[in-house]
Amino acid sequence: MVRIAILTVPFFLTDRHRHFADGMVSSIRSRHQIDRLAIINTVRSVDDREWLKKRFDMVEDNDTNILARAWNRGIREGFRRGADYVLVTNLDIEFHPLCIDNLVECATQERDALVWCSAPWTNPLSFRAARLRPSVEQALFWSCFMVDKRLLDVAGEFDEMFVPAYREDSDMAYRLAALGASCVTCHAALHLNFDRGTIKGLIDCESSDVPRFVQMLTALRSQITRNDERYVRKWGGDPGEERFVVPYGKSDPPQ
Amino acid sequence: MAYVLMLEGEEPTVELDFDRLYAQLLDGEHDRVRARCRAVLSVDNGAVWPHLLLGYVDLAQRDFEAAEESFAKATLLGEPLRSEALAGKGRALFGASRHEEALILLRDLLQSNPDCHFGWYALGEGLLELGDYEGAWQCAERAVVVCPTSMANVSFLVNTGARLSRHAELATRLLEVQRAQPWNLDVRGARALSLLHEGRRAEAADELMRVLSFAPFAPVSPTIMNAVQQAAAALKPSGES
Repeated sequence: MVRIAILTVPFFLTDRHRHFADGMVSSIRSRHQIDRLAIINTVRSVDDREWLKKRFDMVEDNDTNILARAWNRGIREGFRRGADYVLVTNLDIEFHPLCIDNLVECATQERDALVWCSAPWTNPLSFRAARLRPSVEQALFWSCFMVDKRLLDVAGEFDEMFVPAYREDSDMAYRLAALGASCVTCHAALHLNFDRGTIKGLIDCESSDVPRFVQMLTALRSQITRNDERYVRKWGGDPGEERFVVPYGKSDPPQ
Repeated sequence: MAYVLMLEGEEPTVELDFDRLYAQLLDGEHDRVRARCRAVLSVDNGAVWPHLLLGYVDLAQRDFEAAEESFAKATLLGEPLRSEALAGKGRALFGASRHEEALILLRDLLQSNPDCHFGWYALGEGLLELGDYEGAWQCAERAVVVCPTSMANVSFLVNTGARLSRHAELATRLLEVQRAQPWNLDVRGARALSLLHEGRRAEAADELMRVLSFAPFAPVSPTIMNAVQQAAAALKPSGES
């Protein structure tokens, strides 16, 4: 038996967001020891906090609304609390009953890999009947991935300059590729991915909240564009078209 | 590999490949699905599930004879895919104007498996073709009750309801669909339009505003978007731009 920290970053602006989270938490199954960690990006109320405290072993606030920072902090905290692995997951997913244990088994067999990913499944109707394939492929899916202590030591932290989210995953993927690191997706470890849970949750808001959330999404779109632009500046091209092997094409990236 | 653990008591019936190809089929990538299915059959002649997908491709390309043959082969699949294959065969028979055979097949299917929404859809589609609009509407309602997340069912319900001017019932059914997928702007837009037909302007305006507001961030079909834009423009007091 190993100890696994499951790390999530709650972002609750509507009941639907919490509903998705409930599905994720309720689907956790494992024969291993599980430590549930939540680094809060956004919640609405004391009620949301109480809801999280009942379901997680550690609930803390992120000091700023940056996903990369929550991941870095949560991963470090998971290992500080004694985890062998930290499984970082979106809240808009559901685990297949064998997902976590098969992912751990994959990690013991694919020891050279630095990241082990669960494979996403998109059709809820066929999810429980899905065949678990005895195969892995060199691929990264960031909706549900597991690491051990080596990731941050070898590849460094997720880049917190991608604010508030988006492209921090592509950035890590490129750095891992540049290192020649193995990152595998295990087809015996499936999760149901509802995809775009944040926007789906916002659409299901109270009528009075529509203008506020639309404004928020508009601002977010600008931030995502800025992250795209920063990625190109950092690596000399879009994901898949990078030209630099060191950030900004220099040995000493600007601060 | 040793780490693959199978679910106890749950015999898997669906391959990953099937799931992916099914999604491609819904996206209209017929040639790609056909090529992949044929590739699978070329190395595994005993595979059955490619025939179900090939049936849909044949149906979309209006080759009803080929579709009937493909769906017939797919009836060797386990449930629920077997019922889906039978429903597909019914659609192929309707397409080939073999109406009586289609009606018998689909009514038998739905008697034994009333939860087969594919069957209700196929029967409704056939009845519509035969001019039985009331029967088609009832089938559309049943299909949506069984599976409110199927957009094929929702589209069929909307089209049939609009044709029969059953706007009040349509709004009620679409509210149920909306509860199953509240993020779906097509459903919200269609419901807003039926509310508008019923004279429920305030509710309609609320939904229209939501669809228009979130449309830049989530998918909406062009048909619904056009109708929603026109309805919203008509709702505005004169003089407001």
